[in-house]
Amino acid sequence: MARAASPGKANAVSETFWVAVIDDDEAFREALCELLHALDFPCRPFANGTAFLDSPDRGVFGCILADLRMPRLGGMELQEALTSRGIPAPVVIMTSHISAHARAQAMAGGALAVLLKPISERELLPLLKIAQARAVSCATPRSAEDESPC
Amino acid sequence: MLMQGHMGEPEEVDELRAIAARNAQLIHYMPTALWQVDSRGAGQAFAELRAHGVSDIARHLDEHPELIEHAKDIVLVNDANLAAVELFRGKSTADLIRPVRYLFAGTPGMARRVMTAHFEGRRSYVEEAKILRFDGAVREVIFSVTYPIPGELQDTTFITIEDVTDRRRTEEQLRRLQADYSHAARISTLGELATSIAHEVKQPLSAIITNAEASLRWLDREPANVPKLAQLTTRISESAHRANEIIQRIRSMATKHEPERALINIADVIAEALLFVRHDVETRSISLSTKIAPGLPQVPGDRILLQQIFVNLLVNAIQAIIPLAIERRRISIDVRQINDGWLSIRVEDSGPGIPAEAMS
Repeated sequence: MARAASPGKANAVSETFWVAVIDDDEAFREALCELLHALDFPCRPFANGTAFLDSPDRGVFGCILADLRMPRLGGMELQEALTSRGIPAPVVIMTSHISAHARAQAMAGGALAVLLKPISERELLPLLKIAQARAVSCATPRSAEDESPC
Repeated sequence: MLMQGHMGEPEEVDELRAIAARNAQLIHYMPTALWQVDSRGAGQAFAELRAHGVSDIARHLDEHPELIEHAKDIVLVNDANLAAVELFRGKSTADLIRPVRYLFAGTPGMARRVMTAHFEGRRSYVEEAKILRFDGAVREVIFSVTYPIPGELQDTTFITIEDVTDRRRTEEQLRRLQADYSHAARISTLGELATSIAHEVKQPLSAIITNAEASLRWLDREPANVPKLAQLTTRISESAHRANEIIQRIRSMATKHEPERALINIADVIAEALLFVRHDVETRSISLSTKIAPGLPQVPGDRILLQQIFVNLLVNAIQAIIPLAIERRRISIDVRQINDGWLSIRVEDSGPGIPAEAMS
């Protein structure tokens, strides 16, 4: 499986576009990784936002798919933490239920999108393409020193 | 009411007669339906049976049911009051002054029991029975018989009958209301848990759909990755089982059911109850500690009812501590054995507690 490899050792400025899947439900995060794998996106699963932030590889991901509600650091809090640490990777919030207000909040917080579970390939693929395009543009001239989000 | 004894001086006799008359009036108008029965016939028959060596009257009557039928015809009602007339829907007392057979028409087997108690020298006999009114209506009653004992009037038995049909009906309605209420209460608890449950069911469903989409991707490839497809199909099946299990639990909790006592493992019951509130506990950052002493004995109880109790306690606890700051939200469950066969189960939350006036 793709996630068996260590993303940290992958080509630092991204021929490899890594996707992080952060969800407290094991069956779901494994399933989403399998789908990403089938779509040729290497993936790494994390059980919650804190586990992701604690990972030394946290900076290498081109896109982060995070569940809205998790026991330790949900998707929106993670988004905040990433912004404050200057990690520019786009975050897609996933949830099985969300109010219009919370959705607006998530988008205002800088989320790339809010996706309702179950996640369909049809919705996911275009978002991954956008994230990939950003990653490429970030990898070129302005690169990591640039403060603005890519 | 019962008078006997030797009569003394004429003035005394007059006085006693006056008392008797007053008592008769009282009895006549008292609200309890009362019958005065001349049981001399029964008394004689009992004496004869004893002379013939009968001691087990119940058995004897079983062998000679004709004696009971005979008694119903020879034992006579002497008097009955207005309430008795009203109860049986008679026109006057005269309608009720006849052999006792009509008193037993609603519950024919009762005559044998009334006779047995009399023969055995008991003071009284009470039975919940049915009577057949003269207008054909069947009523539920409490049928009480007071037998004469030596020293009193040897030949008079008193019967009182209380109509409890309406009371029984009210009780029955009340019982049904209570059952409906606890059903409704359970459903509304479930209502509060709906989001949590929807989440629990949706997780495995999401996993199933995503695994199926991944499978379709792999199937598109040439050649198809069979080991991968086998792995994904296994996961789909596992998640489907999980969803099914959750639904099963909800159903067993939501349906009305008669309590079933069985030996249960309390740790399992608590684990199942926690499943219902897990989502709430996690998303509200509540610290929940469960201390279950090892090697607890199984205890008799109804698994589902107990589970409902725990879910209710936990839902209440969660609601009580939501207003608190995150670091102060605590629920603890503590189960231990206190002595032979008794378990102590504590569910404690860090909420403000129940105000004293609400405890009463």
